[in-house]
Amino acid sequence: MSEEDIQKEAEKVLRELSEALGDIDMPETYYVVDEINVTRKSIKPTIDKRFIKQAKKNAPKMDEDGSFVMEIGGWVE
Amino acid sequence: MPSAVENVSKYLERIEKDKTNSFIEINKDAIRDAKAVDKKPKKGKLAGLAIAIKSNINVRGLHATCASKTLESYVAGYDATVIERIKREDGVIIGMTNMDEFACGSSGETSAFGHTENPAAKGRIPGGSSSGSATSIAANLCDISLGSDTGGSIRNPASHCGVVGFKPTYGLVPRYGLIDLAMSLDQIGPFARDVKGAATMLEVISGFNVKEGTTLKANNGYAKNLNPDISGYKIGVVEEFERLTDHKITKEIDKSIKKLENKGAEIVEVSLPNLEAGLPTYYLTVFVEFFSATRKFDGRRYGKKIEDVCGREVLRRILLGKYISQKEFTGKYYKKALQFRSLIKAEVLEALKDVDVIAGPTVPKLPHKLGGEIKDPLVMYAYDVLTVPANLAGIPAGVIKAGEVEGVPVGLQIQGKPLGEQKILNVMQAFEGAAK
Repeated sequence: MSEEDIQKEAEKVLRELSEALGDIDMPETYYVVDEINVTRKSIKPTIDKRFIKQAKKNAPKMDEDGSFVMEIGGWVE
Repeated sequence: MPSAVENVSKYLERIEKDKTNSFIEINKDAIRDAKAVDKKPKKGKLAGLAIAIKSNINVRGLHATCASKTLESYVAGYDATVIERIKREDGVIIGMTNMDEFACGSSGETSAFGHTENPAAKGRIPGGSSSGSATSIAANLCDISLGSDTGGSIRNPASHCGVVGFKPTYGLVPRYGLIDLAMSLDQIGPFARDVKGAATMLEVISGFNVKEGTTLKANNGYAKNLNPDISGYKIGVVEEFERLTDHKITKEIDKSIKKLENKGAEIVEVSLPNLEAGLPTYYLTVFVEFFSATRKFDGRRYGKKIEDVCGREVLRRILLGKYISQKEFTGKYYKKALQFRSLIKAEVLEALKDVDVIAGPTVPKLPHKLGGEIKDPLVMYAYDVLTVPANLAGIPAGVIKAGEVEGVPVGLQIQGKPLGEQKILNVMQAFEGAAK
């Protein structure tokens, strides 16, 4: 199935789901918990060397100095 | 009581012979970890138990692939909070389980590592998205497993595989280390062969986590406080469930509710007038949140670019989320879904106001046959109509095997008030006793 076909199918799904809802005048619910823990107590920062080692292994490309090689974004000339 | 090494070895041998494709990866260090547990003088609540983990939860040193080619070479560099808690209580992680790709599915068929077989109903789908976590319990390949539930992904496969599954109140179990499907709906929860196993795991993994914004302070010792005496409990039954559910399943569920009544519970009729609006509300929310969650899979820091390698359902959801996000200035889709979410939450809480729990079916139809792939996504999404309201309202819900229809297990779903886990578990244990 091509991306174009999936796109067409997706638009049909969206249309049908949206039509099933109709109109409503109510406030929106983003999260179902009443209190968001935004003012939490700070904890002492730590460095996890095992995490850093694994993150480097997971990176698609590393240079000889151990720096990440990033792909240049498609929008950069 | 076997040692941790004996217990884990037994399951590893079974997994080696297994044909259900429940596991994507086995923990090579499981025996070493079990030996360490055996050496401890004082042991935790999960001492030596073999625990299987859905492949969207980070376990240090193991692949968290989300059953996708996108993350096939991603190895977790840290433990999710739930894993830290399991290890603290001496559980042994035995491996990572199969699932629908990025948890986008209700059948267990969309994994990049092959579909999962249902050991409880041969030739049928096991349900999803936590397919391997459910089948690993049903096939006796571990003691307890973890799944995640965004719209029914624990309860649906628990129902199809005839095992116990539990979706906690949103915020009760830390999500830190869970790879998102939809962050405002996702919850981690346990699968087990009995209610006590699920309650024990819930007791271990639940509770406040300083790293999160949506975390709740609650842990009441669920296993310790299990009480199957439900005399005096008010159990709500929802009239709208019957209209949406296969009558053979309804018949089996009615028999189960009768058993609860015989245990001393009072049955009360309640109503969810906008139950059917739950499905479009849920999916419109998921598309947007999933699109946002996948933007990090751009192939630059880890893995491959998701759109280049993912399956059809994942791509469909990304395209839908992208389209909605682009059009959202009109408030036509996402805003509308969030408004309906308020309505559904209000109705669910109203229905629960005068009862202790609501009992009913989990999935409205029997699982389809493997290979008989459902092409229309809306037909596939309809599997979730009875499970999504709990996620939209943030309430807890558990599933236990009610019986069988045509040789296929069907699950009784018990839903409760926010942080009402104990009452749900009590009802489930009462039912477990009545079913034996």
